[in-house]
Amino acid sequence: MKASKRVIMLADCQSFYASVEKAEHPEYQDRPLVVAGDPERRSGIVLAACPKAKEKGVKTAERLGEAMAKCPELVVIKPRMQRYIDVSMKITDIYKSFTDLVEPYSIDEQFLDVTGSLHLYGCTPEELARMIQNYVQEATGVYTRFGIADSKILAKMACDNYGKKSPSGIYTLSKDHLDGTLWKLPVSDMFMAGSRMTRHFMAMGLPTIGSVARTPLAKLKQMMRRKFGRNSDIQAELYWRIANGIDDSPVRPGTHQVDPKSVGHMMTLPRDYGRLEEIKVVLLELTELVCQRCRGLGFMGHVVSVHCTGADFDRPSGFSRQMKMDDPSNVTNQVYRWACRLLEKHWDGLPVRQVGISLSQLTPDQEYQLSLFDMDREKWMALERTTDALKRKYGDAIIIRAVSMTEAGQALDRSTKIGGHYR
Amino acid sequence: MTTRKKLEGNGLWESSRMMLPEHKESIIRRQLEEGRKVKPTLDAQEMELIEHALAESFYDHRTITLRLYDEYEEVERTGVVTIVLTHRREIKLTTGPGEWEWIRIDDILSAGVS
Repeated sequence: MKASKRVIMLADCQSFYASVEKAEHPEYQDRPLVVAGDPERRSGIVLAACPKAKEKGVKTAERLGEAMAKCPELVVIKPRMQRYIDVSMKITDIYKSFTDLVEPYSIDEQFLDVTGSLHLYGCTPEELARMIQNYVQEATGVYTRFGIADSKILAKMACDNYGKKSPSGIYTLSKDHLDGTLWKLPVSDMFMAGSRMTRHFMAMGLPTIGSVARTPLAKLKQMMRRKFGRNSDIQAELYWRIANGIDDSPVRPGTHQVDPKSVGHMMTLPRDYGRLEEIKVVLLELTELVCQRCRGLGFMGHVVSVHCTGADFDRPSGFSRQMKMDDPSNVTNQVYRWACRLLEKHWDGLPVRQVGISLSQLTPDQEYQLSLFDMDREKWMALERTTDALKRKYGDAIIIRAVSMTEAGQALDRSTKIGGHYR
Repeated sequence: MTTRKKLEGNGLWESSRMMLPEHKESIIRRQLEEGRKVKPTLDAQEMELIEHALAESFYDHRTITLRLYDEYEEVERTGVVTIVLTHRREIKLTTGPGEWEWIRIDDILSAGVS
């Protein structure tokens, strides 16, 4: 069989959270609408703005107050993260009815490899994209935009740079004509080029994607070494491949099923915590979450890491330290003891705004070393099996530790959220 | 640090994606569900073959390999049948010195004397 070119699509949902809310609140159909975090906490920012709100100058990630100032008639809706996950999965199912090769890249972006199923529809890739676009719109009210190419990287850049701006929402980027299209764009439009990297490229005399692509790889490596030192070769190759549209990565539906390298949780506190006892409460709650997730996945961790960020933006403080425990564990109290040691040793006494903990060097928890000094382990494990089962059935708030009822506790509040936003 | 992994396989996309842990868990759960299998109905001949192999193992202490039904993934067990409980439709398969497993006859999909 003749090796044919792959046909890859990157489908992106327009203003995803806002579109979901608009579909479910038809009364707001013609009004500018944003989904925004809780204004009373620090997460009071715009998470998604509908096209009507964007027309008024409202931007994603700006403070709610600023958005309201620009557009006083703005409809503000609290996020419902679980709902967005459900709709995203529903969209995945629609994509899967066109091809079994679907890979979610984020909540609102997914890759589709339609190479093998295109012939079933007897149409061009663009026509198929249109069909999928209509289907998703009908079923969920969400408008999707498509980038089409023979690799994931070009599909992504086709969508970001052209599909989102084209009236049809569909754009095919051909690898043979990059010099007339992608290569003309400023380097800031290149995938993975953030503002810092863009500045570096400009300083290197590479203002467009094409100028990066046309620099011989050996020369680009040399140029980047001069800026970032010897270890930048891989990064140079990465950018060079992106600019040239070289990417043979597969669309891999099972990509999320890999064993995790570490399990961690982090949270931004509603106010600055200045006392050790307060920080310890949150640390215990986070440890509980991390251990609970490890137990659910069937892992124990050997290394515990604790991370604290100071409250003062202008004078950054805090620490991030790790320690190897005597034995691998996923028992909350055991891990918490080690986490406390790290906290007590490394905390500088300054107010803290962010706390995180993670377990790494994971091993399956089917078998474990009996520890001579920890006779209670079996008992703890039985207790946690029971509390985990309760939480799975009734939600995380069904049983909590007494300290979580103190003023510093965040567990109850956190149990109502996903990714820091309301469920 | 940028590592070599970003340039291999699906590395570029696995290292750059933004997924909520809750979303990821739902995807994994869904895929597990999709892989769920119903137990096939065995025909009479296959059942006879299984019974034959079990009997042979039990009387002659021959090692057999059993393919067992599981909702998500079939499993294989190798050993010698040492006890047969006809009324409970279970066998005890001794898999090593001092190691055994009770297996429901209804879970056996195929059996072969090795």
